[in-house]
Amino acid sequence: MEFTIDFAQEINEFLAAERATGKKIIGIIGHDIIPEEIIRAAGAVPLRLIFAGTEPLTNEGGNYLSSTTCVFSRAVIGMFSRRAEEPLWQFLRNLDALIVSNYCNGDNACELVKHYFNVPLFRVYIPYKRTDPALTQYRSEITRLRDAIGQFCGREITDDALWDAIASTNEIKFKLMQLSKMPLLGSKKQEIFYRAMLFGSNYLPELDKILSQTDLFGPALKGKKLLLAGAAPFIGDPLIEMFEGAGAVVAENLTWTGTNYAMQFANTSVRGQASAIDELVQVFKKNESSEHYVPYSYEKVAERIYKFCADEGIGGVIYHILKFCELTGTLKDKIRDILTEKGLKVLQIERDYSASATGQLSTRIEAFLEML
Amino acid sequence: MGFDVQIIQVNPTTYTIGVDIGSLSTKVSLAKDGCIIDNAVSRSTHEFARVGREMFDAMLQKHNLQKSDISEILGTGYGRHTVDFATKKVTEITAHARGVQYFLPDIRTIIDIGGQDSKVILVSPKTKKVVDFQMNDKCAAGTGRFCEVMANALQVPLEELGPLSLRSNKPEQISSTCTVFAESEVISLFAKGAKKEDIAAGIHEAIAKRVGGMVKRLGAVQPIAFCGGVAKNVGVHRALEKELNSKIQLPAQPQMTGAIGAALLGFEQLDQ
Repeated sequence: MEFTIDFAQEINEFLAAERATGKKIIGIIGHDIIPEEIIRAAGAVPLRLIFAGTEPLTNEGGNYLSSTTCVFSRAVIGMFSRRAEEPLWQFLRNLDALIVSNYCNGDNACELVKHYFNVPLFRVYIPYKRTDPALTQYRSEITRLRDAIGQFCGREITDDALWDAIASTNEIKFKLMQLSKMPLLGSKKQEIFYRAMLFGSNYLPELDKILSQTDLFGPALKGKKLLLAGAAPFIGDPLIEMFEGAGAVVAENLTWTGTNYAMQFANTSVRGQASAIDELVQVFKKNESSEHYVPYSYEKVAERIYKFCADEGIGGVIYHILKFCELTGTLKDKIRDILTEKGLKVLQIERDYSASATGQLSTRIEAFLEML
Repeated sequence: MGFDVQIIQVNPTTYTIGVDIGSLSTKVSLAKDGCIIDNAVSRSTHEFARVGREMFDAMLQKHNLQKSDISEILGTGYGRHTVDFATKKVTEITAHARGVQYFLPDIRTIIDIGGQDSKVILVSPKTKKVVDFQMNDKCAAGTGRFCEVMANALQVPLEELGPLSLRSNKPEQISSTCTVFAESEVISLFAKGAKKEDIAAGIHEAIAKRVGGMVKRLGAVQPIAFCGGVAKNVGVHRALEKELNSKIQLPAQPQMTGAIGAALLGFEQLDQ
């Protein structure tokens, strides 16, 4: 999806309007591990940083970070460094704080935002395993985050407030799950996901409208079906459009700007029996097939990808890697080998947001489709 | 007295053309009923569309053909999207796989080194189709462009780089596969008095190491063929054989296999 100045202004106006009502805007580095429900429960607005890098942005980030740091984190730093003068990034001036974790090296690197761009920071230490001590640590960390965010927003986050935030977030996620099975173009679905992630409950009427207007869907999509896994595509990245332009149907986006985001929801039926924090720990525990956990669960990542492909008749998997993202990159070959053994075709593509790589990338994509 | 008139259905001749626009050279192949009858090659320059069109027109003129006589025109190569007169487009990966098998039907692994990129392609022995491939990233290392830059640094015509390297007894080590750094290394070695043939051999070994790594990652299956413009460089061919410890076959016209494959695919797709 192209990131236009109009869309940037729409985000800016939305955030400014929310701020005018006294709400704080709290940023999260893209992924699905920090519970946005905590931010909502504090009466604040979560702003997911799901914006793609470009060559100028990564170069700008290179003033602060080494060129061997994840391209996304370099781009994020680039966005902050340009927010004063470039209209596209001015919406970032609405940020009151940013949550940064040790989730990946890129996330870590975004800590610089505090030092150089004067944005208050909340640090969260996420465990990489799902053992009992790891879950205890996660519980402790999100409890600490809940208290700190509550204090920052000037209100205590009660268990009830957190359950209410979980319920409203679930409503969006359930509808996105429904959407992900609809016969819409992958790029169109992706745009709806992005908007829902950015505008939250404010986007529900639009989402309802889309889900009810099945006549919008048109005839069945034709083309070779693909599943996208690995690093998430972001706003401004034409990745899905490139596949569609080559004649493919991106039937499933299993990254954390796609179905994986919608799949991470808490069970509200245990409200009254368990605390909201404990249920968020359960969500974390179940999210062990997230690509970011490949060092410990690559077999589960492969198993999940395979299941989606088998259920939806998908023959080809695109495993997307952002340059210097150690977590999606480390065990990519093991994931590929498992999937290949099960009869799927896998194309690994590693990108660094540079425009000069587009020609070769489109050759790879087209050749992969010819091969399927 | 009447005549018995018998109408005999004669299948018209089917012509197909493949136009392979690479970053450095453009190739055109003409097939008649699925057999290659002519080829042409020219420098791509920066005007891909114009060169492709002119070569296509020249091929038609040479054979007294009109565009309407051509059943399929397949564009391929890096500049395939500029072939606006093509009826279909196909990637050079699929085109080379088909073209190499025209000359070497039993081939299983194909190394294609062109002007801008290098690829390793695995072919199914049953279907003859591509089953997997590897391609270099955007960097020019291990490509025809790399050879051009190095030949320039050595002040040797490109076509002499291969034969020159065969005279080497002690190849110099080029430690960097980055074109920019390797060029500096070459100039530095030259300044230190290293022999041109040893530097040339070192350049070819650097290419072979890089491309050989791709072959190993993909899991090469014998027999292996080498195509693309760089396959005309005997030094790279030998270095690859040494690196992979394997005989590597050359198709009769290694630079043409993309265009040839495209022309043949055009013919074969007529039935589909």
